[in-house]
Amino acid sequence: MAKKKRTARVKKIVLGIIGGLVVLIGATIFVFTYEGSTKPILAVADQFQPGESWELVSERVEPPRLACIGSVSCPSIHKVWRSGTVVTQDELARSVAKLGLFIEGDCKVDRGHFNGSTVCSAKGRKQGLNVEVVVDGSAYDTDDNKVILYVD
Amino acid sequence: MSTKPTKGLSLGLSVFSALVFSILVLGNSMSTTSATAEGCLDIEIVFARGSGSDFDDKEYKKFYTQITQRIETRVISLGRYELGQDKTALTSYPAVPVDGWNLFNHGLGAQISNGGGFKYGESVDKGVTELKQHLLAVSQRCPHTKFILGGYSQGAQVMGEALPAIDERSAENIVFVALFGDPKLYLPEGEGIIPPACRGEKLSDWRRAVPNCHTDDGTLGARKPYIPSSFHGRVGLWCNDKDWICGSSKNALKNSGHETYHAPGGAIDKAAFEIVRRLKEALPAYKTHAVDGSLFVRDGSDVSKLDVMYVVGANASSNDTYHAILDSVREQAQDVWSAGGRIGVVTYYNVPGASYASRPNQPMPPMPYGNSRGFINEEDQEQFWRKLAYTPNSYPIIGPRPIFYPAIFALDDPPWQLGAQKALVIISEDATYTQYGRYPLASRNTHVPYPDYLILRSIEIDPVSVYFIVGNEDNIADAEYIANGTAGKVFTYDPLDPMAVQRTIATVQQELVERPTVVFSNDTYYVDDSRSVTFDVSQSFAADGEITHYDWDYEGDGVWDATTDDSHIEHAYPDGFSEGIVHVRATDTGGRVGSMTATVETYEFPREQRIPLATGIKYKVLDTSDDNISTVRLTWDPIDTAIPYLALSVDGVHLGRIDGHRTTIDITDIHRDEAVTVDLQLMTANYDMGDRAGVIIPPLQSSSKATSPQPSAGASSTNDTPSDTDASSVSRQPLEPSLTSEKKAPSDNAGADTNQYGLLLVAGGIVIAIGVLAGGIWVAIRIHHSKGSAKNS
Repeated sequence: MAKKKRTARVKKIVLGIIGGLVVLIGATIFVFTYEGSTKPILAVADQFQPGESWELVSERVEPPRLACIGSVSCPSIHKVWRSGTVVTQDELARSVAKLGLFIEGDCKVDRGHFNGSTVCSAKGRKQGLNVEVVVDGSAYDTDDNKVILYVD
Repeated sequence: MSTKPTKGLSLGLSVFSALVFSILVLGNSMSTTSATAEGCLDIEIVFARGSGSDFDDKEYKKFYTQITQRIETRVISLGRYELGQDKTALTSYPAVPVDGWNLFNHGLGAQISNGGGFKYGESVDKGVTELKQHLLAVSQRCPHTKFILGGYSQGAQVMGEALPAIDERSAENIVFVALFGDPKLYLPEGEGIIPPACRGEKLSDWRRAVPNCHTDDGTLGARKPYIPSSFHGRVGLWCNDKDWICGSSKNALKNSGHETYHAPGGAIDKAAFEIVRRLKEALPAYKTHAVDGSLFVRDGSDVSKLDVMYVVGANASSNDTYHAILDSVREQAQDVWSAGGRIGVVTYYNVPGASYASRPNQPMPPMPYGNSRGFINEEDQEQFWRKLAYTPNSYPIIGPRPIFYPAIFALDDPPWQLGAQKALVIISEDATYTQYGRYPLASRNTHVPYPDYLILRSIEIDPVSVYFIVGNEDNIADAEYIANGTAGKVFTYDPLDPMAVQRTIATVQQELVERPTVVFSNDTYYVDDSRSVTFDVSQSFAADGEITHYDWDYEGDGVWDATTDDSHIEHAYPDGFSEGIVHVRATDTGGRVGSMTATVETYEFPREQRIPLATGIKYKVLDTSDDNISTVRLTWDPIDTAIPYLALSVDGVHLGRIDGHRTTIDITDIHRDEAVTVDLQLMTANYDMGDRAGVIIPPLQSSSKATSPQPSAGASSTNDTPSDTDASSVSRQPLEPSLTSEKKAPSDNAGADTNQYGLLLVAGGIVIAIGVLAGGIWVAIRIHHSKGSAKNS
């Protein structure tokens, strides 16, 4: 009888430990993998209007997280378009018109940079998020003519 | 990681050479560029991005933009390369992510393997290989091209691990290596309960802005040695506060600092400033004029964060003057916002006959509608300016000489940005201020005169430099007193000329942007038994010109106690000093001043409570295989204190924690091609570590295996004189659990880990990983697909 009771107690302890571990592991997994909604940040990013001829070459949408432990802001959006030609100041102004950003630079290419360089940019805040649009231009390689959007 | 050229590599080099040639032929067609006849660049910037980052991410953009904007490209040709971008490269750096589910896929593997194994380790290895190959390819064709290397997070690890393996010519051409948020950070001065770093001592030469003086190793453990000796003086390491990755935070959920290296006035800005100065020294003399090492680029986000609060007197001679002031402030606001700064405005209006502000101990009245109540939201600025324009007519408020109320309001109300350059600009036609008003200073349970209160509050905040723009030079003694104590200045204008005040506001704004930036080596300095501490502001820089001298206020009371040309100073605090603020003011060749504060705390650590050294440490070689791998038994004296643990390290790599009551342990897999250091550190229940003590196990020579052991530095013990031949006299049955040491050659950069312990079980393609991270236990189970990962684990 006593042996049965002891066995039952041991079972309870073991089950308790296993249960605790499961809860701990579950909580840990939840904290580090939880992803919030990306709708608010996408709503801001979607107000950027890329030129019709631009080709989207990369896009990263990082959702809000409880634990943001990587090298990328949570939430954030990073999009890169290849623009073919160097984007002019007017084109930039049109693309950020809905965002109402402050434009800096004349969008003129510096021929001393061989791999392209930032020729103008636009930045500001929208709905509590930082928005920055960077225009890269190169005199030598059309692949280096790019427009980069950051939202975080 | 062989560097032997392969057929594929040759092809890659050919493609690369052709590309460079075609680019530079175009370049040479322009008389304005300076590419040499061989078509080589003067400078190439190479960058490695962080985990999960894309190409052209913020850190990389900021890094090369900050450097290139200071270089005249008609004279100096520039190129840039981001690891992984060249799809024709034989090896391409993927910068694998570690967030979300990737934490279990990549991040945990990185933790368990100290950043050396699994997909994460493979990613780093690929980056190292790509960097080596790229530098070699460029150097073979262009032996005079200078390199600037930069790496962020995982990329910083790539750069650091590549340094020992870079070919000699490329290595010589590396002007500077900037590392941001390195998970393999190593700062020995951050070790211990009161680390030397907290006293401003023994700082590593690669240390740059690392505000937390307790930072000693990154989340993936320290790489030891951190950099090869040949790179000393050419590597800078930045680790922001609250950065779990590089170890300034030991809590994974407090990692916000890791994402702010690109912030205005942040680490990348500071690194770029140092880099251009290095370039000036490294380039041929006839080109150095094209590198502006003193230029502080104003246009864009590269200006230091700037918080400015304007206090505007609405009792100007006329509404015209008041509106001229507002127009000017509004204009300046655009510059501040565009530079990532913030601006606020508080107005006041003098009502003749009232005496509200001059009465002592009067509580602060509510400030009027229309004031910014902190900083202005840029999106709502139009509404704000409209309200403010009507303030003088609608809201005459407080009494004569009322400057202190709005000034105190402006100081106390807004949440100032940590680390920003801060200024309070008081614009008043009349500089006469009350002398007899006193304000309660809650923290000191006393009342102080308003001028002193302003100084003390300013310094407490970070500091906030107080600038005055006054309409005449009468009665400006208090203004000068306050400006001097807060590292501000007094400017005067003709009150009858509305344009004069606008010009003066623009001058002050210019001064705010161009004033020197003072950078302390620590946020907090600790004073120990010696009462002495060395303050270090050597990372400070002038935006334009050079810093000529420093004024030091040791107590943060607004009184400058010393003036030096040197950026270091040692000061002994008197007995009884408990805590305070040290305030430093730097003056540049243009007479501009900038300042910064750090906190000073006394750490009374009773000598009897110091963590003792392990003593009587001896070793005996139990067994040695044909390939020079030994099993060694370590013994030491019993610990007769309440210290519960010992930490065991082999060549600085922590192998594990041992119960304090034990006096022996067997260590297997000691690779003895080189000397091996085995250390013990006593460890408290709070995981505070004592100093290291240990032994050096000499290497085995092929001709003579037995050599005499030597005590390591700091060891308080002597050793037996064992040899491999006496192994048979010792039982091979371990008395204690064995620990395994995989000592790698230095070029492999074996990771050291002081925070994590892990166990990896591999069975039938299923990996069960259990790791103890900072403050938690991890268990991960996954199906394992890669043989290479299992090997690397």
